[in-house]
Amino acid sequence: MRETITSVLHILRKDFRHLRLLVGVWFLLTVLVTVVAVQFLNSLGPGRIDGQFALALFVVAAAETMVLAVIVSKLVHDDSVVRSTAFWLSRPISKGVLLASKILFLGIAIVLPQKLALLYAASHLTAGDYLPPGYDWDQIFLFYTPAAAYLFLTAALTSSLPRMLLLGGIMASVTAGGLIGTTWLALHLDILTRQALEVTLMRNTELFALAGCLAVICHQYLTRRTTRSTILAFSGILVYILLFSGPWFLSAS
Amino acid sequence: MNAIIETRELSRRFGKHLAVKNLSMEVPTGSICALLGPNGAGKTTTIKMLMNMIRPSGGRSTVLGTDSTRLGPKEFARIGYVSENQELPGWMRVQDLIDYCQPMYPSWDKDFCRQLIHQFDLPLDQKIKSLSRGIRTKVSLLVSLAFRPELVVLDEPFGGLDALVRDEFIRGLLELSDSTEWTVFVASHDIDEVERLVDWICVLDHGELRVSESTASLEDRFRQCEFTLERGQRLPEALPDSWLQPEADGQRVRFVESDYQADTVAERVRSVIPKRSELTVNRMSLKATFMALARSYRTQS
Repeated sequence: MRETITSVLHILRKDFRHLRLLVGVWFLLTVLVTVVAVQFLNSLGPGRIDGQFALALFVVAAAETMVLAVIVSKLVHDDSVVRSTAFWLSRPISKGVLLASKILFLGIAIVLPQKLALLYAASHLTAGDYLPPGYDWDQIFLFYTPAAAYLFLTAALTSSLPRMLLLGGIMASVTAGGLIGTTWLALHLDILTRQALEVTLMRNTELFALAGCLAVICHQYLTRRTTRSTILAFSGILVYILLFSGPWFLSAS
Repeated sequence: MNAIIETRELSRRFGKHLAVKNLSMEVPTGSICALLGPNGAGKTTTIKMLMNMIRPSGGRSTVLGTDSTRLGPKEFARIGYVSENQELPGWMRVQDLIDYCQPMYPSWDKDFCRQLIHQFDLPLDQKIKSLSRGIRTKVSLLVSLAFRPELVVLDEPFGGLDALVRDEFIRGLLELSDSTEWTVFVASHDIDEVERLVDWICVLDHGELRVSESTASLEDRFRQCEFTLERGQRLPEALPDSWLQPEADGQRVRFVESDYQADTVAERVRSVIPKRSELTVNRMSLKATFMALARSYRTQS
């Protein structure tokens, strides 16, 4: 056990050294966005929103997402589980240790700063209209975690950043298409009620997405069977869509 | 034979293409074994299956007594692997890579590592991505040898090395082999590169194993034979299977005997060609033997 922890920390240290610059940028962007947004919203007061500010926030958030994609790509692709030429494959590194170190890195470097930012915002934001969920620990656990897991999943199934973005786009499109399709069907069949929609938009879908992503990531890391993992990921999307749209149909029946 | 690597009916398919076909071979412990074959013969695929980098489509193999699909950290701590295709972390300096690898191996020998750094003349402060291909190969060798592995697997390790460096490298390996108890398994398409190194040879052709035996046995078994036909006589169409590349230049006939036995060769030739001049038999270099085998496989296919 001690050896395993040492190995995980050894790889974690290596990744932090490698990605320290990008993680620094990510951290700065997170702090900047949070502090500025809180200050600005507090000065505005409730009920008003500035168009230019919203646009600026969108741009910074997009930049933040791009930085995140680059970090995840470098983190995962530099110790690729897809290519058979990766350096780690011929070294005494177990698949589990590699996976644990990557999850730990994402947790510490990516998700934790976001959660701290959310906690900061929750305690400093006074403008009622823009209040984040506050100290709702469930929400704080889920905040940003599924997004990071989703990027990790797309990186684990591909060998480079362009491929990762392509797969991410395809998976997002399939999910969105499926959800729009089922919503359209529910409206068309006149079975979507406000009550059913509220039941559907429960937190479980986020939890399901997170658990699904983690399951596929574990499968990919532990077996290195990319085709099977990709099929599993798309099957997960199908189940997600069915689960998401299930309550409409259930409430209708 | 005590085998450190053993394969049984090992196969690998990529779509419709069968890259390795029912490969059954053994690599003796303590030997320096060359896996030879032209480009596309299936050498890299075989090595990747042995190293658990890709999964076989059929058959099985063992490395260090462990099923190769179950090779894990314990086994990899005893295996040094170098491939021209292997990706090194380019962002690291050479010293960083050494520092990264060292804690993974309980048997890491710091003195030996220093000796290799000196022998390979490595620039420790330079980033790996800025190094030439040859130096990168040396870096890869350093971090694969410094822990004194029991098994060294080299997949086309000489690519990118100039003649001088290659010579130094081979001499270095030979020196190390004298002082180290290890098995070296080296894949190459060029017998010239490994001729001085090896004592066991496996030849792959189109994914099939054609030869697996010691160099001493090969040197004993192959001979270049030559004789002159008597006037008016022609070379028969049906010749023994052991005659490789028979060719007639006028009355002069040459072939490679692949089953040479000193006391019977003249008699065997006489049974095919009764009327001929004195038979000349010459020893062959490993390279000439390999070339004769490669050409005969090409003719067969």
